[in-house]
Parts: sequence; C-alpha cells; structure tokens
Amino acid sequence: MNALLHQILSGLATGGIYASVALALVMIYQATHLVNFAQGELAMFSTYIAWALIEAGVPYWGAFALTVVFAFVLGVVIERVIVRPVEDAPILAIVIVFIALLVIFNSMAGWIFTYTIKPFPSPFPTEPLFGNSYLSSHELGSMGITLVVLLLLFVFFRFTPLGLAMRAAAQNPVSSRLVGIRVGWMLALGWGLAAAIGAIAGMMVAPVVFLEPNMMGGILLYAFAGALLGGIDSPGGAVIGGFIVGVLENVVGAYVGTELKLTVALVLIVGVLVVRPSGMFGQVHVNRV
Amino acid sequence: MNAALLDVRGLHARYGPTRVLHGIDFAVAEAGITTILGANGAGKTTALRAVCNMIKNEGEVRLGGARIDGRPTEAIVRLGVAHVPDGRGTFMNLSVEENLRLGAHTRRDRAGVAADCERMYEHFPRLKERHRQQAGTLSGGEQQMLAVSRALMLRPRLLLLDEPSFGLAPRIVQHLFEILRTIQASERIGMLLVEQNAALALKLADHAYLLETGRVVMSGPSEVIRSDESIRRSYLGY
Repeated sequence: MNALLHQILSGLATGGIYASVALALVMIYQATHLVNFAQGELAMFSTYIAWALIEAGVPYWGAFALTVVFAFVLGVVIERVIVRPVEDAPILAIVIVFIALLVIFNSMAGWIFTYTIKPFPSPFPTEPLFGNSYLSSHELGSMGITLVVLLLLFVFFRFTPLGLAMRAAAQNPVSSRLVGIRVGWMLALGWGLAAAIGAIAGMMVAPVVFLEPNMMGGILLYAFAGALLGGIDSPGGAVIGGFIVGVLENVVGAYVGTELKLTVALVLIVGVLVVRPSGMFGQVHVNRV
Repeated sequence: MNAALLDVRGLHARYGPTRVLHGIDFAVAEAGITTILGANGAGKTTALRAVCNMIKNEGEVRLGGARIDGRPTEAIVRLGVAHVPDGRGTFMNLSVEENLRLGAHTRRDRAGVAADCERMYEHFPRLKERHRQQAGTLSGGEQQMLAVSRALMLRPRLLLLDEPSFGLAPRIVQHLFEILRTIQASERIGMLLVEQNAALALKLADHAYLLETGRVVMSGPSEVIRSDESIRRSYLGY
C-alpha cells in the first residue's frame, strides 16, 4: 500500500510537468487550432539558458527569473516574426514551420551547448522535506511550483481584463477586433506565456532527466497525451489530463514493467478518446443559431 | 449635410475579384440616424464592413472630419465606432457578462463600465437573468440584444447596426428600436442602420440611402422617401 502511494505521489510530481506543458500546448491550440510541436524544444533551449546563467555565477532564483523572462520574449518574437507571416497559409505549411522550429532549436542547442549530458541543479535541498519518506524534496518543490504557476494562470485568465481579452482573441478574432482588442498582440502574448510556462517545466524536469538537447522529446509526447485525454480545447482538462498521465506512467512502470508503460498509457488514452472524442473535459460546443 | 459625423465618399469594395460597391457616397449627421436600404446582395453589409475596414476597400471615410480609411479595425473602434455585425458576433464560449465587459475593452473607467453594465441589464432584463450563462446558449433574439448591448458598452460616437431586427419576433423588434431611439436621443450617438425591414428603418432614421447592386440609386430625408409611393412600390416593396 505504501509503495503504491509512493508511486502515485511521485507520478503526481512528474504529472505536474506534463500538466504545465499540456497547458502550454492548449494555449497555442486555442489560438491556432494546431499543436505547437516546438513547445518542448523551446522549453529545452530556455533551460540551457538557465544552465548557462547558473554556470556564469548567477544565483539559482535569479537565473530562474531571467530564464522565464527570456522564454517569454522568445515566444513573443517567434510569433511576431515567424508564425505571423504564415498565419493565413494552409495548415500543412504551418505544421512544417512548427517542425522546422523544433529542428532549429534542437540543433542550435546541440551546436551551442554540445550534446554532452549535463547535470542541472535543483533549488531544493537533497534531504526530504518535513521528514516524509514518500517524496524527495525536489518532487515536492516542483509540484509546489507547478501548482503556483497553474493558480496564477487561472487567476490571470479568469479575473483580469487582459486575460479575458486574450481568451476572446483566441476564440473569435473578428469580433475581438470589433471591440477594439489588438488581436495580433494578444496572440503574441499567448505565445510568450506558453513559452514561459514551458521554460519553468523544463527547469523543474532537468534535474531529474538531466539536460541534453533531446530531454523534452518524451515529455512533449506525454504532455500531448495528457492534453488529448483532458480535452485539447480545455485548459483545466489538459492540466488534469497531464496529472493523470503522470500517475499512470509511474504506476504502470512500477507494476506492469517499464518497457510497457508508454504502451499502456497510450492504450488507456485511446480508450478514453474512443468513448469521448473531445476528451474527458473537452467542451461539447453548444451553439444556437 | 454639414458637420457630418461620418462622411463617406467614393467607397469601393470587393471580395476577391468580385466588386460589390462601385463608389458610393453616404453620411451620418452628428447624433443623426442614417439608414441604408436595399435588397439582398445590394452591398449593405459590405458598406458597414468597409467603414470599419474589415474588408478591402478604397475611398474616403471621415469620422468627425478626420480620415479613418485604411486604419486597422481595432484602431477605428478605439475612435468610438461600435459595430453590431452581421451574424451578431457573439463570443459563444464566454458568459453574457464577459461579452459585455469585452464591449468596454478599450475603456479604463471601471466604475463607469460597471454602471453601464447595469444600465444594459435594465434595458434588457433577460440578459441580467442569464448573465452567468454561456452566451452561445442564448436564443437568437437574446444574442441580438447582447450584440447591441456589447456595442453600446463602448460608449460609441457612431454605432453601426447590421440588421438588428433579423430573426427577432415583432414585439422584441419594437422594444429594441424604442431603446435605440431613447439611447440616441439621450446620448447623441450617431447611428448607421442597415435594414431589410424598410418600414421600420424609415421610421427610426432621419436620412435614407437606397442601394442597388453596389450603387446608390436614391437618397434623401426619410420623410420624403417614405411618402413617395413610386419609390416605395418599386424599391421597398410595401
């Protein structure tokens, strides 16, 4: 029983990472109706920036903050300079742009920082917090940071005029212009926020998986699975889906076998999607005309 | 028409290769109501869209004397031009109240926005009953009330109305038009009204233009147009 509890809690810790990346995917999806395949590589590249800052002697939390700002600006610039010109292009063209971004950031990281696997520091102490034996302090700490990020985003989108305008711009750009919303900037802001969330996820997962240019590959896949499971058009659903995938992955890995964990997780996800194609929490849109 | 709030000259517009407007002139007086009448496909909706630059157009558009043609839609809105678009433009997945708050997106006076929200609820109590409900679940008539309210939340100088009577029960249309008249009188908002229901529009408006396949074929004070039997028979069909 204790072992199971341990697996579930530790699954929640990685699930938080998937939940963050899943949320970033959903934010871009809502605006573009496309999955940003480069989301993981942006997070990985930002984590390298954090690593470089720490190597240069910047204290951890300073590097953390600078990296989040860097990722935000990077996201905004990518939207304005690279995604904007292909906005009205056919879907395949945009997909190619996303894949190109993935490859570019992957090779750029390898070229600048080499492909050698690097350890990445955790800001949390090595001995378990509060004397608990279930979770390492890094797992507990990263879960806490994930929850704070998710809560801040919820408050931002739910209760601030800017958050409302961003939701409106993603859902209905034509009407948004008619109430004076600068839709272009709202979309760029969305990219910035998604990149910043990804960067935090990257910095939280790097101490566990170690830093290398391909570190986000598997995580992006699980996050995507989580987003689909919860509902790709539902931010809350994607977050819950991310946590579920994290727990599943861990429990299946412990009791069924590591080599099967990806398979079992994906089979369960496909099962849910067969029953509910819009995901567990995906909205079934009600429009009256 | 001196001191025109909106003055449009030589307006051309097209959808791709299809030319829809062939150089039309029209104007809305300060605190006046102008209506553009015409059959389906005459270019009425296109004229409204061209005023706030939602489609490709050429020509001079002046608001309060200053050229606004060629400026981005959101910039024109920020100058005080609100639009109740064709199809109502509801933010389907947001609540009724959020739709209203978005209408006031460009305003910074929080207290004024809250007061205006309450004012809209007084005009349309149905919206208050449903203020937390997802706007996509409202009936067509309720969405039309929401669209008008959302546009008024901007506190516009000029209100563009695209067939506000569309799909509404006659009793609700009466109510909506009474409210438009009250608001126009008390706040001196200029209105540009596009309507298929010519009788209704001519009663509300002070000036009318008759559009036929992208050209103005007749214009003048509503009174004159209303009382001219031959125009009524041949163009307005009532």
